[in-house]
Amino acid sequence: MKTTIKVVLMYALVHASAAWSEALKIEITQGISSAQPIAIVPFSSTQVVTGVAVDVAQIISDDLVRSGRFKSLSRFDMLDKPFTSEQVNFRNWQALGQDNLVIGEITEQANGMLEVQFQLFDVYKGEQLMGFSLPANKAGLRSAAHRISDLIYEKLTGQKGAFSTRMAYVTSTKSPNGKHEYKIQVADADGYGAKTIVTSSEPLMSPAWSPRGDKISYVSFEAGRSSIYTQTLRTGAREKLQSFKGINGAPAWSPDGSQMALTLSKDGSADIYVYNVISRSFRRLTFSYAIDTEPNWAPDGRTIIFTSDRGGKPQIYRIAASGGQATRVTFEGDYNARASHSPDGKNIVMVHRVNGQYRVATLELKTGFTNILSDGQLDESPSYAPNGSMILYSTNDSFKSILAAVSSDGKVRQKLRLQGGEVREPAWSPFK
Amino acid sequence: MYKKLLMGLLLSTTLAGCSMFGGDEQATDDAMSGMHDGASTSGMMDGSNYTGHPLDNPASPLSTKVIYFAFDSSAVEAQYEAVLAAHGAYLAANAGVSIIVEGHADERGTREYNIALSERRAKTVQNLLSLQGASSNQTEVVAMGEEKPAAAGHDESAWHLNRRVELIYPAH
Amino acid sequence: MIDLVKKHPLASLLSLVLHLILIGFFIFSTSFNEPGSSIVPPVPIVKATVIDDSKIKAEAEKLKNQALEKKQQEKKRLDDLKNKRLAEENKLAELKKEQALEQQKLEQHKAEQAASAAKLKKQQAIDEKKKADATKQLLIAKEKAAKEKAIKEKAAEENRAKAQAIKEKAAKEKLAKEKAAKEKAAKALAAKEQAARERALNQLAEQEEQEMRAQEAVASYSGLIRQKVERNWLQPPGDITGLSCTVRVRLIPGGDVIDVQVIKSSGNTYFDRSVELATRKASPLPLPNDPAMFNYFRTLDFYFRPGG
Repeated sequence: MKTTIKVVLMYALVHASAAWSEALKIEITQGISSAQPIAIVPFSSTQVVTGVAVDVAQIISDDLVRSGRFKSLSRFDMLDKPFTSEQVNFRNWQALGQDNLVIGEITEQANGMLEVQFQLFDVYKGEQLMGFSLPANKAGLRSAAHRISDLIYEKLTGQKGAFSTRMAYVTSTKSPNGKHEYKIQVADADGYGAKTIVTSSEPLMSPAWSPRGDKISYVSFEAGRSSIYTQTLRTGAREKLQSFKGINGAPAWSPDGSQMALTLSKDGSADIYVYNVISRSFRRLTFSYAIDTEPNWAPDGRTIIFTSDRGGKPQIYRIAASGGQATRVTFEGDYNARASHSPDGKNIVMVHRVNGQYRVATLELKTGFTNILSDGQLDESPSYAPNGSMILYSTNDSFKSILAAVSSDGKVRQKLRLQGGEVREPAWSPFK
Repeated sequence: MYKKLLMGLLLSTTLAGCSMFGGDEQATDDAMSGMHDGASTSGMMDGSNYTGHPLDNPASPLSTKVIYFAFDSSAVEAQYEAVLAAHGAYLAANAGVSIIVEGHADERGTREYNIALSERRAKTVQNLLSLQGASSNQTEVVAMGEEKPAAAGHDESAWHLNRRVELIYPAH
Repeated sequence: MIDLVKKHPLASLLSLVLHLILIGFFIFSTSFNEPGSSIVPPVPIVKATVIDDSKIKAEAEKLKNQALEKKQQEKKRLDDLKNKRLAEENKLAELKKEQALEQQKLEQHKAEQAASAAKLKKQQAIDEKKKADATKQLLIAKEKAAKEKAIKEKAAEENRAKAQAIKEKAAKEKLAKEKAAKEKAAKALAAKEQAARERALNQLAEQEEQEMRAQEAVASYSGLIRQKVERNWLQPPGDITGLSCTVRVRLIPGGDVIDVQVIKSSGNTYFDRSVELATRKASPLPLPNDPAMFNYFRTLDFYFRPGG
């Protein structure tokens, strides 16, 4: 009996040893989910470049960190600051726990143009992942930096970077003599380079980008009541949409740019209408006695979501762009409004009231899972980045409205400091 | 503080009719109810001797041109029924006069939804004016949402002052 | 071209990615309006290390063959032992059969002798009676002599039978002796064989114990290695459920990771890279102090499967 057991064991062991002699198998099921460490060494040069006040590496670092996907090594912690590949000692960066390393060099050409060269390395493999050279003039160095951020972001996440995109927003200031001034401005996605596109002494609101990013539609009260204007950014020329008695608001371009959904109250209560840009005709989409407003198109252009209080409290509903029965989308909480689709159409972001606080929240359409992303009291106007990675919104900071950005998973939040008065209603541009 | 409140009270009782914003900006929640009390205690003044424009007579409900609403509500509270009745009657008696019924909301909630909410308030007021005989072409509704707050601040005292409908007599 | 790709998959992939980025850049730059910001073709400062994976494959093949050979040898040894034992048993059976045949022969011989003796006795009786009938007178005279002769003959006959019996007995004893010797030899052989078998079993038991100890160490260090890799695995953002990737990691004594190869891709480049990075970052991996144990850890396959 004992012998039999031994023989069986012997047999089993012979087999086990055979398996081990190949490779020990280890299963990994857990990991950590945090930002990728990246070291961005200040860009330098062997030659002296004059008249450059832009810190390219800092812009790249700020861009990547703001996305929530990266954490950037402080310059003070760097053991050395190489700017050519020969100078890179990977062991130094491994010791600092960095996965990725960016170095760069700025050189001045004979014609006064700059050449920005950068390389991205895998620190642990000791390999270059990417290397590029971009020409730029001195004034275009900021945008060159954003383009490098885009390239690095895409290389390391597989997602198109949105750092070279822009945002539109509304500002309001009150001069000492009590006069209000309202503006719509367009700035880089990091808030730099703001340009005013329209100024008014009466409120401006609801800026909305055309799908090609060449026009912005907005609501202006300059005539004492609301009207919708569409302004071409390059020329500044604008066109007033046919105005109706009552509300003319909440413009939203269809993804193909052929139509615009908007809110009119000409037939009674606020309802959603669709304006055909080519035929210049209006079509009524909703017919409720309640408030229907804040339309937003699904990326496929087939459906429109909007805010309605037809159930007593404002909630998000969906209706076919061709019309029909609206179905309710949100059920959690008693206040959900101003929803917009993520670029992939899988989520919506909206203003969600919880315990009397107005917060930015996403809702996964497939599961109905609601994720609250912001922590303010009066957060509003959320707007997805065109790559879906981040959301801009406005929040109150010491009694002043400012802009903030949050990564779409809610992990990283950042306030954007912009000049001048109250800043609100950010709208992230599409990709150029 | 109390001095300031009292000042506000006095100012608003006397000047509310002329000013669209002035009284609101200085007044607090308490001052507003005080203003209402002021209207009921106006019997102390001799209204019959008033020689100015009837819309400016502090003894008349016509001098009240801003009415306030509860949170997320467009229902006109009972205390304002007399005010709206007076304005409705005035419009009915003066067919050549037309007004703007301007609706407002507090800053809470989304901006376009608040535009619609402020319009609903203004339309409720417009309907009550019509019941008194004001013709529909005498009243125009404008919805301003939260875009033109009467009071700065981010608490209930400011919010209360901002949830309002203003009756604007442009020609006056 | 395809052969080239097959030969250098990494280099080809890199080249493809770079070309795609390049193409992307050309498209991008044409739609960009700001002056002085358009992108020119990248400076070729790409340095890729092509890992010679045929060498690793050969190494793996060699290790695999060695294991197979060892296994076959062990089997052959056991088979030989079994065959030898079978041969011995056959021999013993042959011997037994031979002994039985010998015994049978002996008995036949004894029966034959008895029969011839009986025949002789009968003939003598007939002769005597004839003689008595023919020479009755002479018979009486000669009776004594005849009688004596008969007695003599009978004694001789008895002697002869006695001798025969002795001879037979000796033969029989010799046979028995031989049989005993043979049996003894067979027994000794069997005992020897049994001893050898027991020795082999003891040896295996010892091996088994060693293996068990090794197995315990392998299990505990596998756990430590797993923990270290998990601590270093920065999962890529987004939905990664359902993705899995296997990497083969080669170590040197001391636990330093010297090579990581994706042997089964998740199909997601960024997931694969996170996995590769995790194993590299976890270097050096914890190993048992006993250098003999290193063989178990020389090559590790990590199966990354988020969420289990």
